[in-house]
Amino acid sequence: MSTAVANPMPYYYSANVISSDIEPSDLDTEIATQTSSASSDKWFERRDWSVAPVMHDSDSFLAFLNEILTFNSEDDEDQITDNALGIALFTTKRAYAQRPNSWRRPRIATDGGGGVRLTWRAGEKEIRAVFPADMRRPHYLYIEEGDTPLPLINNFTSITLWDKLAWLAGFH
Amino acid sequence: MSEAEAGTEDVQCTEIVYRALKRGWAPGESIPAEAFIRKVKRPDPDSEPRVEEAVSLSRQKYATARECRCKLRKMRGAASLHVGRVRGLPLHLDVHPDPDRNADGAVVGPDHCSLVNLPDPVNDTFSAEAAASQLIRVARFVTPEQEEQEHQARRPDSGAASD
Repeated sequence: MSTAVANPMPYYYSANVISSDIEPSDLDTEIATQTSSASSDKWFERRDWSVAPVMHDSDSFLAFLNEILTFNSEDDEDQITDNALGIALFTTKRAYAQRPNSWRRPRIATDGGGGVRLTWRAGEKEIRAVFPADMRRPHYLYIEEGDTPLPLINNFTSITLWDKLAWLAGFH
Repeated sequence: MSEAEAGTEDVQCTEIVYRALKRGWAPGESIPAEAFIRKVKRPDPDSEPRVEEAVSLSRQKYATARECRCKLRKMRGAASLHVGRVRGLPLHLDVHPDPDRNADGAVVGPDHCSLVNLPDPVNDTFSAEAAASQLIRVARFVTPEQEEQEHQARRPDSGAASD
């Protein structure tokens, strides 16, 4: 009798809704160590990402996935390109997998040119994750607390995103 | 001296302008930053991104919030801005008359005006986001009730509410 192996692949393979063409390699951290201005991206350089997520707050994340994946069906003239969608999902899925209890559903919008903007707000804190359609432009995090903006973080990784979502949720 | 066409006169500091929003008003919600960030257009995937020069607004003296919202498809709300407060921000922003014209050059949309001097979101991303935040702080959502009330008061013959 064979024993069924439940989902032997890492999370980003098994639950990959969008980015079948994106390898779960070290690309994220490689890019970060070269280009990111966030110190958290350096600290976690060698972190193992192939950890199956605990599905807390999964409804919120699934609702986000559903919304972003069906976004283009809402308006013919205001579309998210595949490039922007791919990297946005790649980053958010890994951020969610790292710390599901920090996850909050963002507001989804476009930048008018095929890029995607995700916005989280809690009280006076706001995080804007922007993924341009043009891959030559960096994706970035703009963060502010009250009237005070923090330095822009270019080419952020999922590690930085979950770190900031934890900050938004009041974990630190 | 000939009389200036409606919509070509300078926008006064006392005027109110509207910005159409893709998101409708909901209690406790903030106005989205992208409402005040110049759009980055890309005609095709290989072309350089092109940043629009300004953000479009409607002058209250010529249009209601509902008319501003309904000029474009899929707009679910509007925000109001006091022009004097926009000019008072330490950003050198201004609101210029920019009426819509037909092929003959005649003004057909006197309400249209432009919010100018916003930072370039491609070359100065941080400033563009920060400027949007400052504008959000001086803007106000027009609630559905306010929109209806204004429209009924100024356009009493327009009939029932519509989207």
